[in-house]
Formats: sequence, structure tokens, C-alpha cells
Amino acid sequence: MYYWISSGLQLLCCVIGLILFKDIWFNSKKALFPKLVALGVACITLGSLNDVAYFIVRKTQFNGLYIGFFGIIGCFLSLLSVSYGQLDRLFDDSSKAFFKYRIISISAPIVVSALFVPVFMTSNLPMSMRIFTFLGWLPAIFASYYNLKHSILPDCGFVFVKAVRPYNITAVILEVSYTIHIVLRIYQLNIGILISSIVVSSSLIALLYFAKKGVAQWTI
Amino acid sequence: MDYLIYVLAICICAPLLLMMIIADNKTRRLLGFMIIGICISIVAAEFNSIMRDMVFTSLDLFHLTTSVTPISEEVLKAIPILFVAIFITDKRDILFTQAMSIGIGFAIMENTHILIQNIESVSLFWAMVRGFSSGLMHSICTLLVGIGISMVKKRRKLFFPGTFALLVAASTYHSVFNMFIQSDYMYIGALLPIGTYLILAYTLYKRQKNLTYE
Repeated sequence: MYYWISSGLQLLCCVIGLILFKDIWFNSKKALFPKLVALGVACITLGSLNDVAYFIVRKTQFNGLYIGFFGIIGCFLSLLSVSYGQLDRLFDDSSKAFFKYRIISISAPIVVSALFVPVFMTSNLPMSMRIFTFLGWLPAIFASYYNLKHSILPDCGFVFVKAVRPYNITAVILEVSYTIHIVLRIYQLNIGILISSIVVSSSLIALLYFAKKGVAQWTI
Repeated sequence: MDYLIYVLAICICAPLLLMMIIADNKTRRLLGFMIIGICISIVAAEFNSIMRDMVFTSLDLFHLTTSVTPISEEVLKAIPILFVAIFITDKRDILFTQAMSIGIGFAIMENTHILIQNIESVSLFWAMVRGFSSGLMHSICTLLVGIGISMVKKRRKLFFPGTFALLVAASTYHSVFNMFIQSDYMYIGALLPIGTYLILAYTLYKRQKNLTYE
């Protein structure tokens, strides 16, 4: 029941976000960056729709490999492609001046990976599912490194670093909270599932807002 | 009759191949990709049979068609589009029509195969639902990949994660459709691709109108 409510809440928030910021999709002059973020949110929307549809049709939750999980992977792959493919080459020139920020940013993937350790150690999932879940979560782990790095890098007079900082901070919050949410789902801790899904759903809308706002400030 | 699917494919493809000889270039391309879609449908059917019999033996038909076949079919349908986008052209208009053609060809073969297998239980209503909704669904899924690839191909770092995200989106859309179409909420499944198509058609119409006005 809580599982179904959290998927429904996520679906609702994603749809609201995509409608509120629909000009990201339909304005061909917009940069690719917010479109990829919107694609990521759309992947989660479809994944949540898959979960909700399964509940409506079967009146129960599915335990095992399900396509909704690929929606989540697709979202974090989109965020990774934004961070690594587009933003990192603009923000980080591989100079020694930014070395300490790269080191600090490693903490994000460590934290996200460490949240999975209880899953491997104590859950009732088959080992194949645990490994699959962790491998599927690798895009989120890698994306968290770049998002944290882009959040803490100094702007050095480049307005676009500051412009997309709120987006990057929100992305880090999303990556950590979604990891916690998935772990809580596996352990079926219902109140925790609800609370984490509220954080995740809010982060998804905020992600679209800050992506759009960041690009608008960036291109002034 | 194990080879019935091949008999069906030949019966459908032969006239299309003959038509290709006398068609102009654009029409020939459309027909060619439709035939490719038909061939992919056969490959997907055989692949799904192998997965059902050898890998996912414990899954029932519902879970097989909502968790496994959407992924395999969307990946197989995306291969020719990926090939064209990487090696030939990434122009959106060309990828758009080719993706639609592959989806339509796939749907034609799939519907025909299902019709033959369930000949006792088909009806006009079944034909309307399968014809419009399934055909549109397959086209929309392949179209999504085709249009998306034309956007993400611009930079290599964006291409691979972007393509995966597009395949995921297509697979989940396909899975949701299969879920509803096999349930008591069949009408939701039928309306989903029709609604998506109408939104897409309206968007394209507006875009064309804006371009004409400019």
C-alpha cells in the first residue's frame, strides 16, 4: 500500500513538473541541458507509471526484475550524461587548482555506495537481485560525483557555474534520497518509504525548475 | 505449423518488395524500412521464445510480456535506427519516417501472427484495438528512439547514456501498454498510444505551422 502511494506521488509530481515546464520540450531554441534533465524526469515518470499500472492491474507489488527500475536507471543516466557530457568540460579544466574539489567530491559516490551495504549484508533479496540493483545504481553513483563537484567548484567569474549550482545541489539530494528510498523499499519500512518519496518527488520538480532557471541565467 | 510466421512474412513482404522496384526513392526507403520492421518482428518472436523456454522459465505469460519482451523488442527495433543515425544520417526528418516505418512493419507482422494464433477469439473490436493501438504503440516507441538519437548524437559523451535513456523510455511505455491491454482495463491500454499520437500530431502540426509562418 505505501509502495503504491509512493509511486503514485512520484508519478503525480513528475507529471506536474513536466507540464509546468513544458516549454523545455517544445522550445527548439532551448539548450540541450534542460531537455536531457526533462528526459530523465520523463524516464522516472514512465517507471512510476509502470509501478502504478502494475498495482492497478494486479492489486499487488511485483518482487523481482521489473521495468520500472529501468526508468530510474534511465533518469540517472540522463543526469550523468548532462553532468559528464555537457557540464564537466565547461566547469573543470583538469587544472591542479581544482584538485581538492575533485577529492572532496569522491565522498558523494562513497556515501551513495555505502547506503547499499546494508542491502548486500542483511536483506532477503536473492544475490542476483542485489547485484543487479547495485549495478543498476552505478549511474546514480557516478552522477553524484559530478553533481557534488559542480556544486562546490568556485565560479571563478564564470556565471554559468553559479547559475546551475542549485540544480547540482538538488541533483545530489535526489541521488542520496532516492538511494535511501530504494533501500527502504527493499526492507519495506513503510513510513520511511513515504517520507523519502516526498523528498524524491519534491527534488524531481525542483530539478526541472533549477535546470530551466539555470540555463536562463546562463544565457543572459 | 512452426514455420507459419515465415509464411506470413513472405506473403506480406513479397508485394512490398515488388512495389519497391517501381517506387521513387523516398517511397522505396519507407517500404524498405517497413520490411525491416517485419523481419525484426520475426527475430523478436524467436528470441522471446528462446528467453521463455531457456532463461525465464518461472515467469508466467503476463510477467514475460511486461518485463522481458518490451526490452528485447525495443532494443531490436532500435538497431536499424541506430545504424542509420551512426553511419548514414542523423537528420531528424529521415529518422522520423524510418522509425515510424519500422514500427508499423513490426506491428503488421505481430498483429498478423497473433491473429493466426488466436483465430477463434478475434473480432472486429479486437482488430480495431490491435490495429490502431498496437500499431501506434510500436511506431511511437521506435519514433521516440529515432527522434531522440537525432538530438543526442551531436556529442559523443551524450550519445550512449542518451540512447540508453531513450530505450528505457520506449521499453517502459511498451510494458505499460502490454500491462493494460491484457487486463480488465483494456480500454486504457488502447487509448494510451492513440492519445500519445494525437499529442504528437498536434505538436508537429503546430511546429509546421510556425515554420510556415516564419
